[in-house]
Amino acid sequence: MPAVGPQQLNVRRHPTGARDPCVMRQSRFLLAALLLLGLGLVWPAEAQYWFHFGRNKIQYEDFDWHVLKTDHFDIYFYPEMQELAEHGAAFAEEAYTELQNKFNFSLGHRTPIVFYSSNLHFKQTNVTDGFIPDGVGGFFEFLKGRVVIPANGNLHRFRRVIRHEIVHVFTLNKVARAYRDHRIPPDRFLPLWFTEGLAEYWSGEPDFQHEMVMRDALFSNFFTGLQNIYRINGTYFMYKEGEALCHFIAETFGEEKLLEMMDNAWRDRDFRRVMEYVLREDFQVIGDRWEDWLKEEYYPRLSGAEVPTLLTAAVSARGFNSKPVVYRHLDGQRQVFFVGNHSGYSNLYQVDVDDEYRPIAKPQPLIRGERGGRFESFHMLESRLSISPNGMLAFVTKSGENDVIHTYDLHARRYGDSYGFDGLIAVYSPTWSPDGKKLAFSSIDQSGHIDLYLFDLAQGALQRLTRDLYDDRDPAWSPDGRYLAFSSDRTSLGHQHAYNLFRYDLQSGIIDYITFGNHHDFSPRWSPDGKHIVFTSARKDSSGRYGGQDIYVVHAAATLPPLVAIDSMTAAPGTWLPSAAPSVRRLTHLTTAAFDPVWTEDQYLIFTSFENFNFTIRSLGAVDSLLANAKQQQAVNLAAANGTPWQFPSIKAETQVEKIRYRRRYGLDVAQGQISNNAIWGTSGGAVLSFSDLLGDDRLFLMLYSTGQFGGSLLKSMNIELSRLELHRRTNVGYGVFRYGGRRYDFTDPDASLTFPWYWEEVYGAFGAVSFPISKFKRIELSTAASYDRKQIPENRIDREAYLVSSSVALVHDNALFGMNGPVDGWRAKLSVAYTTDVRYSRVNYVTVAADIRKYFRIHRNVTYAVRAMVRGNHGREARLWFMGGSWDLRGYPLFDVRGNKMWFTSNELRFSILDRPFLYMPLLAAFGISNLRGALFFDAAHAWNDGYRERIPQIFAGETLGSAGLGFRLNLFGGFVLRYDLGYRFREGFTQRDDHLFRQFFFGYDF
Amino acid sequence: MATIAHKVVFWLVLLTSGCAVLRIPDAELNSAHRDPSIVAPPLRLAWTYNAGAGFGEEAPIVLGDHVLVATRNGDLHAISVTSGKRLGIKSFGESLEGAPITSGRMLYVPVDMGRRSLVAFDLERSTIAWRRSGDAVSVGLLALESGFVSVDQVPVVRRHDGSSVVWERLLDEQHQIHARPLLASGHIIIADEAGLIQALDPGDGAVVWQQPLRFPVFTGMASAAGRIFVSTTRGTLFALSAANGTMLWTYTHQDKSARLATAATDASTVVFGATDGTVTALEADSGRALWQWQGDGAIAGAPYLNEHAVYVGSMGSMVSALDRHTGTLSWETKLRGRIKSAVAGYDDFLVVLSEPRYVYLLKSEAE
Repeated sequence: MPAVGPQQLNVRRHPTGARDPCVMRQSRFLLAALLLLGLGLVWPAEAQYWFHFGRNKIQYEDFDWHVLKTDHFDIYFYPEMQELAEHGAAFAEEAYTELQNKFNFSLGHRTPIVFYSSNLHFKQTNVTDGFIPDGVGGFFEFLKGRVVIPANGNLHRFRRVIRHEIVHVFTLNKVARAYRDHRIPPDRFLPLWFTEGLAEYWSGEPDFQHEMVMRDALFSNFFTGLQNIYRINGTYFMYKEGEALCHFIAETFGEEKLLEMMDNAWRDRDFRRVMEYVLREDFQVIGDRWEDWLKEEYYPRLSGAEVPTLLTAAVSARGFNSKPVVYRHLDGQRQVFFVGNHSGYSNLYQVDVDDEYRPIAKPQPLIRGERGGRFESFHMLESRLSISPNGMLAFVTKSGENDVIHTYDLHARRYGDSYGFDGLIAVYSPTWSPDGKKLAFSSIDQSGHIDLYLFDLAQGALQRLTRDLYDDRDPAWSPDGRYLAFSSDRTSLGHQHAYNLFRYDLQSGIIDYITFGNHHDFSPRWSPDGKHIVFTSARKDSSGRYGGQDIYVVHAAATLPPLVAIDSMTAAPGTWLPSAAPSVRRLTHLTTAAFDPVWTEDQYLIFTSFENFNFTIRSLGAVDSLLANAKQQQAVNLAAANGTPWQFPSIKAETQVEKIRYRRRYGLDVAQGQISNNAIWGTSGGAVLSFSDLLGDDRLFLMLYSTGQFGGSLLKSMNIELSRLELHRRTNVGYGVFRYGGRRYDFTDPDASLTFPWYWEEVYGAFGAVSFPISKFKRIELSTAASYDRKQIPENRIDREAYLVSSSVALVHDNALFGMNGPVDGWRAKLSVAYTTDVRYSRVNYVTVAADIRKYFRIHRNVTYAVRAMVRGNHGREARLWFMGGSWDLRGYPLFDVRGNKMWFTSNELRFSILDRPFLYMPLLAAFGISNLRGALFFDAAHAWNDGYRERIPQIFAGETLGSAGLGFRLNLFGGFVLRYDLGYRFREGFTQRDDHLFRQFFFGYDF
Repeated sequence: MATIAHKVVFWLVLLTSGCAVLRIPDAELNSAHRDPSIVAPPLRLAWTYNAGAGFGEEAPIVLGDHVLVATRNGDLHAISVTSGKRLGIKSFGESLEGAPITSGRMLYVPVDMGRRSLVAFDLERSTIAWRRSGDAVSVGLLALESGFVSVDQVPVVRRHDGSSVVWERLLDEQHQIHARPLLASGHIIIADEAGLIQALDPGDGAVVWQQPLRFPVFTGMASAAGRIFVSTTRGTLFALSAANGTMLWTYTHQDKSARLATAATDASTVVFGATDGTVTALEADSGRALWQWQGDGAIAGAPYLNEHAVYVGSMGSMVSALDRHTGTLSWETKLRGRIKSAVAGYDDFLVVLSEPRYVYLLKSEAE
């Protein structure tokens, strides 16, 4: 590979100690927030309805979307990634051809596939409103049949994910067709283990991760049998078990039976019966046979295997831990650093260890992630850490739109500079040069290609070392400073998805092989003396299955005759000519897997181990002895590496298929109608329609609702709102027009009766709203509304017109970490100011100020102390009332009963676990959807008032300090619906009086 | 009170009987079968009929002016060949997957779900003559000179003579039957999903010969001139001697992962589609490839073959007419949905079943 000269890439350096490096372009926020904001605009004083916090999904990039129209797909892409999209188009068509045979089915429509060049771009998609975490390879959205997939530098992975998602497209259409053919309502779904397992199974042979997980499940005894597979629904493990189950069915009963299960899904709502019908076995027997099959497949491999927890010592074993590095301070103190997640947030941890790498203290967070824009997220499974000889720690986080390399001085205990690079989207695994003046790393650029880069810190110069479609990752700088060892699929066996180790000569720009073979050789690190390279490798055994991912050592080239290689600048592809054969030694024979080994100066290996579905940091001593007594030693057959470098097919835009610019066309998302009948309010009904374009960037909403009681009042009581949300920019914009009319029952109206606040109102107007996300966790919201308002309250002889203009500004922060029943860590707050005035008559004129702050102290993994403080005030003419009461705020008082223009409120809760995930050990509860049971000790206090703080208005509890204290229970059903039951005592008159009887409240909803 | 009750009963009877009327006049039942050989391209759409549900793999049948179409929601529709109007409909309650057969005025209907596996329907009187309880029957029936043969999901093969069972034979319970049984060289030919082909004696059900193909068979067979053609799901078609089961030849498709659809054959040619969208014609004697045509969309139903052309429907919603001798496309038209069922040809028209629930009659315009 050629050395490439310094690139015209701008480097953004964030000064030392910068608190918020979000100077990079960012954009956009939550759809739900804007929706609520838009609705709230009409009556701004009702800002208490704006309980929306939430994080921001920011649209940093304004993608210039184009469409490739292949035979069966519309491929959406942006010009920077056209080459990748052309590969993706070929992969999709290739998958279609194969799956058409497997499914005995053709799709009756063109399937839209949206490609992104990296996971960071993928996170910005508006096709789904949800946040997309690291590690999500793609998704199929079944309402509009859209497939969304990011490339992440690895074309094999890209190809596999495309196949996976297209299997979903076929499955959905095939089964839907079977239902429709038989006139069965399509309200039944195949079990997730089947659909995901089939998608995995039909997207390629089981990979080494599948084997790792299944082996671990059997060896560590957490395998979940067919009878109980619902318990792991939605988990990563379910994907792998589902894949194994489909594999078993195909091998035992024939692959056609997988299709038969889809064709016969209409026969019974219970998929177990469908399985029994198709496989002609009792469900229990199928499960037993599967377990036997797995045991026969995997148990023989236990022979001679070493269990990581028995072979090695734990450095950090709690929670998730990965990517360790070691540093020895000048005073001899050793520390191990790693990224992990011990309590919900991901952090960079440090742990003090003794001279045998035994922890002498608990791991402590050194750098806290996921709480602010600077360290938005760590790539915990993908990006390694590096420490320079002078104690500068380099690590990567997502920081705004792109990844940024941060430095931290371990001696001075302070942050160093941070480096972001224009045009480089994702950055992985920085490695320091021995002199600590340069960093090498791998990075994905706008095109989606991952390559190696070199950055000179002093000069600010960025040099691109490779430029091709191969997946170059995990660079490691040799101690003599001359070489970078790295892992890549550029091997001539890359077409079989092999990864080997390579060496980049920084003097000559030549790349040559270090290892060769149909393996997955990853994570090279040099030994301190530079004579060896330690790495992990997953290799297939004689049965064709991958064995454990073990630690290997290869002699580094420094001690070998120089390899002969040809600079690919001048040579035709595929002419790497290695001439010497280093030997590889296998140091471990693990039951499961090792990752990211580090070779310490005192001959220890520190690495991540996977066992019992847990990633832990472990140490293994006496490397010399391990080398001398290697489990296996073999020469690398570099002579075999003469094959032509692989290439993937592609469908060329413009020459082979049509390429057009994307134009928005709206399709229906939701159409919902409703009619209700109420003894007081009579019959009312309406409908909501929403439309959006294919990319979800532009959304239209139409709401129609009538509360009319008889023919003449139908139109008079018609409520109409037409609104539009534009989400394709960083700043989200919403606007619309509305007409509301009819009877209203409004506790907040100051003119309405306090006991039965009924009146007639007619409002015509328009609104606009803008939301600017500062980071994922903060945003500014601006809104304004203008309306003509006519209100009639016959009892009070009020009939007034007003031309209202109201505007508001709000600042929102939210980094709260959610448990199953509500937030358990972090904090969120909203400060808002609004002004409402009648521009013609001045009958309405008031200011709104509101602050709501919620902080969550995680005392223990299952115990959280939550505090909420809230102040609200409307001051001026016709200022509206706020209200409280009910299970969501002031407990013990009925909903809406506590009211006033102004109020303060505080709530304190000690939340604790009673039953955590009971469905795992009490399967009976799963049928009722019981996910957990938690308790809460609470104390609430509030005071509402109008003019005078102590001016009493008994009907609305104004003018006195109220409160309550007691105990609550929260029950999560089906993972998303929380039931609340509180009991306690009410306090009044400034807590001088306590009610005699216990109150009891039953409601639903998440904790504050 | 009694008067009201009588009225209610009267209207209920009228309504329900009105829904169930399926009657074919004696004259049409006894009329000679139509000539299936003269339809020639081009064709034009004569009519479309909405049958309300999807269809199985097998072709509809035509009796006189009646097209009889079974649907997967359990209805049997009688449609006028002339007008495309509904002449009658009978609900059998559960899915009808295999095609019914007629014998005299009796219509025998295999039912794919529930415990009512077989229903004999008197077409002249529009009444159910008898029902047979038992395991569902998912494949079409085989008409014999006397009686007929059914294969249920167990699978048990039965020879029926009217409502009585002459004999029954239990096959391997681990393997279902997806192929409609055939009568060839005087034997009843059965293929199970594991690829075991068996010839049974029509007289007593005894096994005459067996031939394990070891290739899955999930679709129908074809036979002509003492040969049986078995399509498999893994790209291979087998030709067997119907007399003794010996393998005559095999054909391996270029894409071995393709599922081959039920073949159509006459004495000289065997034609079949595949899920890769190809239609292949082979010489029936030798298996030599005559031609191959590439269409758009998987082909799951059997083609219709006559002296002029090969007609095939695809999941790309196309009905195509190919020159019988060269395989060149001579005519095609697009319908409203996938075509998964066999194409039926009679006189000068084709009957094609397509998703989501339509019956098409395409009439020949050729001179």
